Amino acid sequence: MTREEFVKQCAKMGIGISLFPGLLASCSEEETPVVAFSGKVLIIGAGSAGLMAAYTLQKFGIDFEILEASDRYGGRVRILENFADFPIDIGAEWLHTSPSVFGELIDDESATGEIDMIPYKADTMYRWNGDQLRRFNIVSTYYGEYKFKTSTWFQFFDQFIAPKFLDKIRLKTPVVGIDASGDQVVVEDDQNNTHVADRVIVTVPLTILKNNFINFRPSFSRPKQAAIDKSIMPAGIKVFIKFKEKFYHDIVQVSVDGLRDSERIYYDAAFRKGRQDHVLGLFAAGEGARELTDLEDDNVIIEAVLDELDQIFDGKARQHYIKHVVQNWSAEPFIQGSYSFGGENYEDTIDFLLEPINDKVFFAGEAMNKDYWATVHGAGLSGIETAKEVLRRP
Amino acid sequence: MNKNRIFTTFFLVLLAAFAQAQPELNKASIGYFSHGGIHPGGKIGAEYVLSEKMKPVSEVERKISLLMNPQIGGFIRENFYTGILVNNELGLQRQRTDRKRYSIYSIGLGYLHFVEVVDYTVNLQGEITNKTRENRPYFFPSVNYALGRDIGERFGIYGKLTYGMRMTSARENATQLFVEFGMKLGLNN
Repeated sequence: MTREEFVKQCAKMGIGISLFPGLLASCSEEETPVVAFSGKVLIIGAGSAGLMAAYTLQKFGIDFEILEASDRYGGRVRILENFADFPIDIGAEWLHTSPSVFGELIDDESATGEIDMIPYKADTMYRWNGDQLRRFNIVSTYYGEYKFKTSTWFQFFDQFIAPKFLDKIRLKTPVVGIDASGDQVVVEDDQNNTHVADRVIVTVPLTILKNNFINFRPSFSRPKQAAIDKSIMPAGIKVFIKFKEKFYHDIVQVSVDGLRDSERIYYDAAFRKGRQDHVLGLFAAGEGARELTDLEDDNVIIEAVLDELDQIFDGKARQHYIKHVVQNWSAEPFIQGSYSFGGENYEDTIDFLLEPINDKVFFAGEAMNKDYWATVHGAGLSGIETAKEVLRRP
Repeated sequence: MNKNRIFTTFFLVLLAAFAQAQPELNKASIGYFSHGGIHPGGKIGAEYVLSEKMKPVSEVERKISLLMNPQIGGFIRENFYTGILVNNELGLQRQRTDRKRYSIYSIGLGYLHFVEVVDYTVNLQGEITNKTRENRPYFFPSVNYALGRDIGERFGIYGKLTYGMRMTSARENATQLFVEFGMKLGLNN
């Protein structure tokens, strides 16, 4: 599924939400859980879902700790600073719903702070078919998302969420085993250290579950394993290139043979940022990314990207090139892909993805939000809902 | 295609039609008007008959009318833009005298004005606290197709598609689609 289709799906779901507010049960104030749980929770993974789960537990005064495999928190939300005269989301970048969702995530009437946003509706949209660049601006009538103007998704978490519990995030602690067969849950990291808790919330990327990076005891039920196998987290890559001049359009979608069902989009990363630097972004997922992520290193990747851009823009890419950065998300050992979702019949799949193990090990993540799957805020809301589920159970 | 040539041609056609005819106000229209079919708005218009002739078709006749249709519409896309379209269309209406259904093919020239939201501030409760807007004017030549039906002597309904190109020297041209549904009220005795 392409991001276009995904956005349409989100729009449909948006209509559904307005008709059936119960779908957003996790967001309504009257759904504030009765806290029946008291004990310690371990959260595995410090991406959007993990951080929002922690934020929720913190609100209710629950003891918790986050174990994060990499040397930073944020997961696929990451910032690139000092590359241009504005900070760049080198991971998740767009907000695929109304910015009012910040209120749902923060859920605190006394919270103070402001976020500058851009309504992201490109003025010039083109499609490259491998031979010709064709305008399809009429699509912009139907296309519309949001982006951060002066900050990034990472700064949202870094500024408003993570500071409340920084001391509870343990970095460089990849989890390799979770044993829920006893009274408590025993979590083992790659240094053979054990961490004991009453409940565990697993928020690792879907690929980590699919590739059996973590050994679960007892193992997943058959339907849950089938749901994990069926869910999708395609290859993903982002590239940013700084140029002397802006010779490109707001959006150019690459739609060549073999890539029609995947995504490869060049876009003006400085669009409406109000800055001087000219930065072109490339976001690719699925087969559109695999062509690049499977290349041997970043130098080969940037050469392939510049070749394609020179083909599209008559040699102007190398002519105006200044510098670049490649973020190969498929090569990140604790990520291994782009965004994730349940695939066809995802609603049934999500129920099984969320299925806890022995009522002690719970799951959250972007693929597990029925309303906003494959999004940062969807992951965050999933983390909140799973944390509340833990709180509701004694 | 040269933009100036398009503007000039449309303008001269409309001017010539208006100057040579003695327009008769025939109908007024009001309708739901939407950008792309999904961003809602409203529109009012008037319909002048510039000339009419009857053409035999089988055992009945077909009335062919040359119409002029000035109109003004507005639409909104929350958090993105508000727009106004002021335009004038010149079209041919074809209707068999034994049928209530008719179709109109027309070309139009208009002024399309967007007030675009370029950025805004959101507080942590998710409320928008400050919007920055930018005015964007365009010329808007269009082709249109309307399908209508007379319900009574003085009342009818119609649906209409407008496909055009918004043009300005400040940025690239972009095609636009408008969808309209509404009613027409006869003003002649």
